[in-house]
Amino acid sequence: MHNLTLEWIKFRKNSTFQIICFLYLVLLPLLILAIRSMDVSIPGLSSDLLVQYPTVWSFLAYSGSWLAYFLWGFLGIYLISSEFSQKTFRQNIISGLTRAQLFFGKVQFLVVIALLSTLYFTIWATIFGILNQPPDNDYKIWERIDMIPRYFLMTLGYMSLGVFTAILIRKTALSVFLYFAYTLFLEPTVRWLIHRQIADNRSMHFYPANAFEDLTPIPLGDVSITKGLVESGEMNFYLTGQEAIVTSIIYIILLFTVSFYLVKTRDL
Amino acid sequence: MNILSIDNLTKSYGRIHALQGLSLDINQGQVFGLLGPNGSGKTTTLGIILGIIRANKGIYAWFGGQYGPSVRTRLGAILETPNFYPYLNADDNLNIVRHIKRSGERDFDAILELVDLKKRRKSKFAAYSLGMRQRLAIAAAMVGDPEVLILDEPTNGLDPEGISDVRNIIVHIAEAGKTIIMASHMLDEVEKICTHVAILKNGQLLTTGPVGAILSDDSTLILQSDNIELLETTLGSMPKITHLKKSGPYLEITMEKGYDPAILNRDLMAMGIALNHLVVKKHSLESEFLEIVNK
Repeated sequence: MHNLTLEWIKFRKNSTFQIICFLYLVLLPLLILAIRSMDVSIPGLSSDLLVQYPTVWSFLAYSGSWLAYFLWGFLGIYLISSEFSQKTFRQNIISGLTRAQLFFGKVQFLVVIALLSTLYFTIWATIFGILNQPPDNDYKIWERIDMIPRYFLMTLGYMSLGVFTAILIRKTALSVFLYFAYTLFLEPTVRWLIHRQIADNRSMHFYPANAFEDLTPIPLGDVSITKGLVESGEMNFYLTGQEAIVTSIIYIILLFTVSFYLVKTRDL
Repeated sequence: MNILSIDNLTKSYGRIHALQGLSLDINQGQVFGLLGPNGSGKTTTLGIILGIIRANKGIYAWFGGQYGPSVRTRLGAILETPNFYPYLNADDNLNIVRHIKRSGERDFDAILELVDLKKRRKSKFAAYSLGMRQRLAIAAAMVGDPEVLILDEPTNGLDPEGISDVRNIIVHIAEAGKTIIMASHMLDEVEKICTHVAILKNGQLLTTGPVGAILSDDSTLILQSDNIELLETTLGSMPKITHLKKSGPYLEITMEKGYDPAILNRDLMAMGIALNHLVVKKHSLESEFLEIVNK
């Protein structure tokens, strides 16, 4: 608790931290409202369906995953790299913190933010679900409730990737570039161009950014026009829920472990 | 009581040997000056004993190793530049240090008074001048009333007024009996404040000991007479004069230990030379330092 409080004291008045939190709080419901207001004229799919139980869980999780990818991933980088650029990491150590306290304080802080972010997602999914449920329909509130822990893992996954990048690179701009370059270009290139040529099997899906992404995928299996294709295995380019969860947990532990090793052994 | 014991510390950055087997002992109440030219290993030494740089070899122990990994909460330190959160004010920044040290201070009035920042305590650190930043760094080092203060070039980059301010603060702290370890280029400052010094060059310890022992007993005499040529010839023939140099209209000499300036004056009078100028100049730490590092 001591280290968690320390992180809060350090960043509560930081404008970048405040802006990131504000953007998340505002954009998550706005994103849904914007899509809700769109006129979707595809048979078997309507914007109403997206905000009704149980689809609202997976759809809001998918929408929120973009915010988590940009905002919480960046926060993971910023909380580390800003301390390197201001040399406050080393000052914290000089003042008496151990390297383990310093690192696990950051991890605790990010876990709490991921939990609060998930709670906020849960609140909005509940609100949208209740408000948009047709009166004659059974409430299928709990059908996709697995999206709550998956959303938490997805958020923590992007944060762990951000933390690892920032500890490795130390510079904010370069870390941000590498984070986005890896997730947008490098990993897809390795997966599709290299991996597929060498070993064309499902193992190409088990990469970190892809695993985090597949925790909250586009809800194709939840809407009637694509449900059949997903269930028959014809649209099989996602990890299954269990695969994504296990793979993500392994990568999160791995990224945090390697990050801690770097903090522990390198000069600050 | 032994405060810090350093044994055979070695650190390399690639081919550069920043420290080569440094060993030192610092005891309670000492004001210990770490001297050396740029790149001599002063900051690397402080970085290692403060836990932010990993040594390749060697060990160090604070307070005989009795406090374990939390020992740095008993120290106050400035290393290189003052490092604070730029968007926070002095109180908030000091509060972070207080939190890390788990110190029970309720406010920072006394500390901010000492460094003359009480009026600007609510200004953000980003708006501080270099002198104010340095003074806040000293204030942060004082949080929790640490047993040892470590100051790395505390007057670096300051204007003359800032240097004077910081020097007065350090003198004030030293007078309160704290153990201080200070790396500095300002040798006159070290001479005034420090009780002990260690001189480093290329990562190696050249000498260490009390300031009085480092300063040699030899004195330099500045002499002049109406007949400077005769004076120079006479001094040159005296076996107890170890060094003779002409410096403008004066002669600079050093003499063997025990040969007193009064005896020299009497001997010269006996040889018919009347001095019209005789000044005894004690060696400064700066001249000793230059002599030691240039050997």
